[in-house]
Amino acid sequence: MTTSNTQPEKDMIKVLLVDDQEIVAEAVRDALQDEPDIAFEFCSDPVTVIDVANKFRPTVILQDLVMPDMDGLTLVRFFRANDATKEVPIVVLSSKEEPATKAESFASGANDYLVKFPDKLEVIARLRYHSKGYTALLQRNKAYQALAKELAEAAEYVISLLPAPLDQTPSTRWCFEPSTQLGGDSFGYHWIDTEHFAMYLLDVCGHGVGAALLSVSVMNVLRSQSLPGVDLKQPSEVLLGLNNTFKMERHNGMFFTIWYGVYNTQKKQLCYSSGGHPPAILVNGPDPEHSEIKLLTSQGVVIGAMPDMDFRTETCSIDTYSKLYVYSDGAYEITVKSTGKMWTLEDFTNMVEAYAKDASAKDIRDIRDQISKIQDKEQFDDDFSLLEVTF
Amino acid sequence: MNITINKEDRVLIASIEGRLDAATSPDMETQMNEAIEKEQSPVLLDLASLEYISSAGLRVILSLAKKVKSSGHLFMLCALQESVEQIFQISGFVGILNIAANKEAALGQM
Repeated sequence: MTTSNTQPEKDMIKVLLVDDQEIVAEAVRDALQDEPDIAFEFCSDPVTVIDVANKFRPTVILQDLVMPDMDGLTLVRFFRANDATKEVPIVVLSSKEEPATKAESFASGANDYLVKFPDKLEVIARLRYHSKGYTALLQRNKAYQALAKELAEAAEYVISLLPAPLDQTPSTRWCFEPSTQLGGDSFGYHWIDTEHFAMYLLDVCGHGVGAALLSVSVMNVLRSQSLPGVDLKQPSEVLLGLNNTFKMERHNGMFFTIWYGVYNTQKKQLCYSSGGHPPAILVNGPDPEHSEIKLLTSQGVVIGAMPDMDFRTETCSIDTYSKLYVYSDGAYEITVKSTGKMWTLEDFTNMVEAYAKDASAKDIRDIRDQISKIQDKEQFDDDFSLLEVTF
Repeated sequence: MNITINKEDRVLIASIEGRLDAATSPDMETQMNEAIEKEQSPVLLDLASLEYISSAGLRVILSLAKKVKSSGHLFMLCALQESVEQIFQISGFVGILNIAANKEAALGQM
């Protein structure tokens, strides 16, 4: 192995040649000698070339097809399986001119094919072309990683705003998992006064940082109880107040759905209102065995869509054994792996009911794990939010 | 998602096929906006072949509805599949948009 230009500049083209013939290396070296921005490395031994490549970090690989110790196509596959070279353009340099050999090279993962020995101008032009494409790919990957990191930071911020589970009555448990692109889910609960406990979950339309920002804004308004002239114990008033405050025309065309409920500990009553949100699930009765499921909705429209909308407050009694589940549509809008069809709200409701009635069930995350298995995918496409309130 | 846009008489009819979600709705919005600005006519979205709509898709439909209505034309939807209709019910969109059972019924009102 011979080495030259071991410390190329950052934006240099780095060519690695693998060929058992020194004469080919000399020819390439001669061709590149007047190109100051091209660093050249030669390795005559295909057995050790992966180590050389991992050290040299080529931006383009030139390689022979016929070598004594290793078949050239096998080497192409090795490069593709190696992290540092899996996306580096490979130009096969061969004395064979048959179309079948060329096709096989491309099928193995090569990016280009040159018949030995091509004109100097052509070699340089192709090396520059492939190297430029690879450098652009690296830059794009880096930008994508930076963006993903920012999304992860935004998701961490959303998570930091979520309240800690409560152990007293009413007690709360929740499971929240932001999607890769970050959805617009958030939720919360707090005591309005000594008798009234508020709980809410919202989902901003679409994905991304914009949706998360609006979600956080709404959460802050609810947490700080700062809706002027609104009685926070009256769910329909709260939704009306939010609808007037967060008009979609003023918030980049975004609207959100929300389920907002208030539990009166003295009257043992839950009043609630929905702004376009999936119905909350209440499992309610004297004991688990005799409890019944009720879907809590009030037919309101999404918040911010239209001015002057009416929202209704509905009320229900809370029995001795009572569990409430509020969630976002990301929890059930999944594709069932085994059938390729969409899962349904009814399927989700049945799963939640079974969990609520199961005395041995302790971890709300079990529901998330079951749904993950149904879609046969660890990551959810939309935010997954599920809040359990036990009265 | 596939979208086919035709004009029958004076009504712009867009048939949407597949899934309307965060990935596909921007394309649908661009195509529809171009057609709406060019035609300046009533608009019917035929959703007979729409299998799924996410909140991002709902957002686009609402924006289009507002745009068409603000230019003084009628905006209607028709032929919602059961699963899509459930999403429109839950979101409350059935209360703020004109929805017909099928294309013929919609055109009869337009």
